[in-house]
Amino acid sequence: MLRLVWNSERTSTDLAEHTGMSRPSASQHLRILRDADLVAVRVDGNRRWYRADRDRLARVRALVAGFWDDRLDALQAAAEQETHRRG
Amino acid sequence: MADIVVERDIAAPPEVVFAMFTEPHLLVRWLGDTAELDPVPGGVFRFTLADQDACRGRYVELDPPHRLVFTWGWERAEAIPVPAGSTEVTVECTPTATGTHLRLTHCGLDGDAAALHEHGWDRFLTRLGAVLDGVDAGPDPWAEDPDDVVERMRRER
Repeated sequence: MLRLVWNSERTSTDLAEHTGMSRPSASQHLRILRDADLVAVRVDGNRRWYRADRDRLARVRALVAGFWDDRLDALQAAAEQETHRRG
Repeated sequence: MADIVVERDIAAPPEVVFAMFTEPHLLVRWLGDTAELDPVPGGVFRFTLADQDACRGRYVELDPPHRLVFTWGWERAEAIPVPAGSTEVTVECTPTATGTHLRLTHCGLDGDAAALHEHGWDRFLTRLGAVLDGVDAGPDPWAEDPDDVVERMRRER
């Protein structure tokens, strides 16, 4: 669903059609994404247009990438120590 | 959406690097404080951190000492908003003249519809706000269109 709203604004009806989800479950999914600020909404008359909040998404990714970057530095040190120990 | 790829050249043989992901006493030297590992397909992959937060998943594929796949996520997503078992990590160890080239790929972080329903992303997404508020995004790694990234990764393979 995030992929569908990556480059374009869509309505929930449009998203339900594209994902094959029922309208209620597409709406529920959108609400969750909106609560997490992963998706932004624009109201235009009685239509609501949704699109991905890329800045927010970039931060989730940065958080996980940073985690692995730190951990793999530690893995490298531990693996090299272990290799020395085994001789 | 683009996967996370982290690579290291390590002065250790692939057997040792691989064991870092399968032997509890080695895993805790770089990831977590306690570990419960059952390195067979379907077996538990779990470790805890000092604050008692736990990461849990299952081994999916093991081909020692070359390739390893496990699912990954946090039981409580206070630190990193990814629910237990919802994403997948692939580890590839390639022998080099000086040791091992390690490539770690983390995919499934986009919380798509399937993952949302199967793994309870929804519960975790609602906590994102608080978690993200202290995090600096740095340069936008997703500036590229996700479909272009997938296409580029395919070509690079």
